[in-house]
Amino acid sequence: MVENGEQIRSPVIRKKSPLMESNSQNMASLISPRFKSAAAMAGWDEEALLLAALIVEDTPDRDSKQKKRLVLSSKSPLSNSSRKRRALRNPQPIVLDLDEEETSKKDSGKKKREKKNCVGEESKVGEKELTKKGSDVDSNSSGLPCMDKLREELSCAICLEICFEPSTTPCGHSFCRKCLKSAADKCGKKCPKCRQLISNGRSCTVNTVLWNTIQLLFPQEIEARKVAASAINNRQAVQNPIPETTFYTSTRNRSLQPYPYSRGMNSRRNEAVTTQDEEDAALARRLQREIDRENNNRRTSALSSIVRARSRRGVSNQDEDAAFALRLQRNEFMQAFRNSSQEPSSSSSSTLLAGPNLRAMATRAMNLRNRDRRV
Amino acid sequence: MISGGGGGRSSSSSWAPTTSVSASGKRIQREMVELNNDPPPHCSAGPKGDNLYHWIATIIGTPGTPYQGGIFFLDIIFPTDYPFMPPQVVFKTRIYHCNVEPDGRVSMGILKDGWSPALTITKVLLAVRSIFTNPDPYNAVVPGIAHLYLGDRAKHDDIAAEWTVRFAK
Amino acid sequence: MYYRSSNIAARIFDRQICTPAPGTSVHHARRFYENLVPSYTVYEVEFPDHSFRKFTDDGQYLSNKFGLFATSTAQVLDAPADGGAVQGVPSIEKITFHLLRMEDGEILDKKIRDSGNFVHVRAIGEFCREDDELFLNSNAQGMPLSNKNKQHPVPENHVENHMHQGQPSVGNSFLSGVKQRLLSFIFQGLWNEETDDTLRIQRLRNKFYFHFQDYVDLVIWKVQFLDRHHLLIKFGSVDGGPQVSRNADHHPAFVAVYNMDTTEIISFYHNSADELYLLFEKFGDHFHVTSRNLMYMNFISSHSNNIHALEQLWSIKDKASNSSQFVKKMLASLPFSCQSQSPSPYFDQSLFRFDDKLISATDRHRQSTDHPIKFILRNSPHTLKFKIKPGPEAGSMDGRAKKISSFLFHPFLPFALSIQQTLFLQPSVVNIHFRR
Repeated sequence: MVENGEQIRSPVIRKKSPLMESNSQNMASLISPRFKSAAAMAGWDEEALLLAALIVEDTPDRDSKQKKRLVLSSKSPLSNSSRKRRALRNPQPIVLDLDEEETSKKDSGKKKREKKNCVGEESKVGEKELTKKGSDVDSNSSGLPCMDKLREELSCAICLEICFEPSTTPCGHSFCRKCLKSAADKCGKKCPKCRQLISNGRSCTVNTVLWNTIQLLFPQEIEARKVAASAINNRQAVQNPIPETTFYTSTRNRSLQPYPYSRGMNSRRNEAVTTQDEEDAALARRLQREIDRENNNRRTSALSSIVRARSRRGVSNQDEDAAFALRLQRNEFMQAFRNSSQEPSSSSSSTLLAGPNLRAMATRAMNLRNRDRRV
Repeated sequence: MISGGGGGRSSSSSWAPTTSVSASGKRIQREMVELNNDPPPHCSAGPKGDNLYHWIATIIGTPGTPYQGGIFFLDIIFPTDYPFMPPQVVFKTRIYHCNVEPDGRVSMGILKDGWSPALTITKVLLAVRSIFTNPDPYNAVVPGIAHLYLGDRAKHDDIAAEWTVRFAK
Repeated sequence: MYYRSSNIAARIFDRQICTPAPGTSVHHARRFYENLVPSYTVYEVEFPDHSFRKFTDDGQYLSNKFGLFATSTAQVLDAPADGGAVQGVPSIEKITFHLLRMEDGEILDKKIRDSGNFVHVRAIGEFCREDDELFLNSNAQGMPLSNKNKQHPVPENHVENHMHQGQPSVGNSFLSGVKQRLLSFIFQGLWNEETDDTLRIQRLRNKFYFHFQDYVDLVIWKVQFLDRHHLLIKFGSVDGGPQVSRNADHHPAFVAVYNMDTTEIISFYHNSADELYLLFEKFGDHFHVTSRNLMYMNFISSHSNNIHALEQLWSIKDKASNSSQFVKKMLASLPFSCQSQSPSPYFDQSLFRFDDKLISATDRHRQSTDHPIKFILRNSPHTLKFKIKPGPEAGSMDGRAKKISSFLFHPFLPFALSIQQTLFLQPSVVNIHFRR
């Protein structure tokens, strides 16, 4: 059952055993560039990748027709559900398959439910607990083998999606800020998970570290939700619920490969893609408008907010980002030039402008460095 | 057939987006997926027709209890502001149980004051199933049955088993 | 196959000297009926005005054996389980009448007491066992039983010709006994079929929960006995009807076998199920309730025991364009109504060929034509043996009026009556057909 079409070897696997035997420091030879790029897109640098690779199971080689060398991790999770036991009996190695996106998606439900034996990642990924069920998201992650467990851990128990702007209660449970607010309004000021009292002031602050982590780990979903949220706000319409079938196809087809996937992710939310373009266009227009105005303060704050928004979006259209950066740079320069010619005090304004400009450029540079430029 | 749409579904503009109808619909759909992937033992549930807010659940009588061998059908009705309000759970199959009202309504803390938005229908079904194994006579809604349960457990079990055979097979 | 003379003297001689295969003596004897035919007709015999009559089984008398009770609330469902002796009323005490009450679809078994009142024996519908309701009440133990539950069960409707609109189901009422059994049966079937959890839930969702309300809304259209313990129940939707076979696609119908003693549903089929059709084709006789006492019932031709009848059925099957439509049409006759069948050898398909749209063993009114109904020999020389012509000799005066005729054949003598009636309450025309 394991060998149904997804065991295309990635270079990582082949080199796993020597890694396990020796302490080779030659990372570049161990990890293929493609894998590295994909991992980097999610924010994993080489060190973290290597450490993660150490724990990943040896996956069998389909082509070589050898007996499978399955190295079961001894640190099994603590749950004793029957499904886990079943999975242990039929161990399902992790498929780090970057050549084919669709492989794990074609699996039967059973395969998806079998747990991925990734262990010992607690320190790496924060508050990850190895509990319960796998989700139906495949492990086609951009480097993290335990994406489904992460997803479960970082999901809001109220809306059952990934926490959006998570807010943490005093008792340590996190929910979407809006969900928690609604729960507090409607069900009383108790934590939905443990029913401890939550005081008023805490309920509205966003747990920034958690939020940033979530955005790094699940960029498309967050993106889509942001777009949807802004669409709701802008249009003030109640959106129709997603029909079941498309919802299921979207659930199944969801993969976390960032760059190429975001292009093709039309089935999930048509409006997401189109409104994303619209958002870009709107932002560009806004930028233009702001630049044309004479109000320095507003411009800087607008620019910085735009920049922040851009950086938060993370891994999206590189070309557009590059163009945007260029535009920003040019406009700033032009503005500074214009201001300096108009007012003598514009030197201060230019320094004011220079600040956000530099910040923008720095963010750009950082993002660009981390990505593999394919242009 | 069921008319499309949830019970009383309307686009109220005064609601914040998170409590809009689509949010509850999305949540119910997610629960359906969760139930599909990891069904609790001896339980199943699904929407009745194309109405997402009205489900039918089936609980197979737990072996080892007097309800063994019975197949119990339940109505589950989700409110439009789910999950902030609990679903209504009603037995469609007659059952002799001190925590089930004579008209079939289930009396459980988590379905009333003890409800939390973090609870899912899976957990609710598991809770209903747990009262098969462990009735709660101290919070009973049918005092007669509770008294019998505490006083003459064997007779209670006999009657419950008889009911199961007559009405739930 | 050797040549058989159709000369009666030669046949008697053959019978003397030839030994037939074992067990065929009755059939052998029946072949004599090829020579003894009611070839003469006395037209328009005067008869006192009786609406219904039938030969007794021994052929001695005419009687009113089975009554059709058509009160406003009940209608006789089937023949009495103990086929009482026949001469009319005195034996009626032995008869158990099985009624299907229209309001709530309860199957009631009642016996008649000396005083003439009905005695309730058993009711199936809301509750499956006769003492279910008693049990429920006795164990109330402080449970306030609402009257709502008892008065308005899920509506199940009734039988045969009368339509009656059931009450709509109240929101939170319990499932009625038979319905619970049915849903339970369907659920168990689906549950046991699929062992994988995920697929199972999905299947359940699509096939069961999705249609749950449809199942709950099914009403009992018709019931028949299969034997002392089993009922064959036809379920349909409320707005469908037992006669509606053309629009069968919009009105799903199901057939279930129910054991009254164990209160279990044995099987459940859609009315286009091939499996059910095969049972019907091969074992059609078992669907007819036959009285144990009467030997001749074994010789009534049906497509299950007679090759010619089977061939007729197959020819219809081959001509049918849509196989499931054909199955539905055939199965629409299930459950069989309590019509008796004439044991006359002239309806034996191995002996005679006749147009069964105009006449057949089933005791039923049919459309009448002016042409005589021909009975042709099955065996060589395939000659016309006799004709039955209902109605006046010269044909009726009014050619356009719709006429129906019914026939009454003596069990074993070459003697038959034909009764032709028009729909306008004109006096019926009775002919006698006999052998001179």
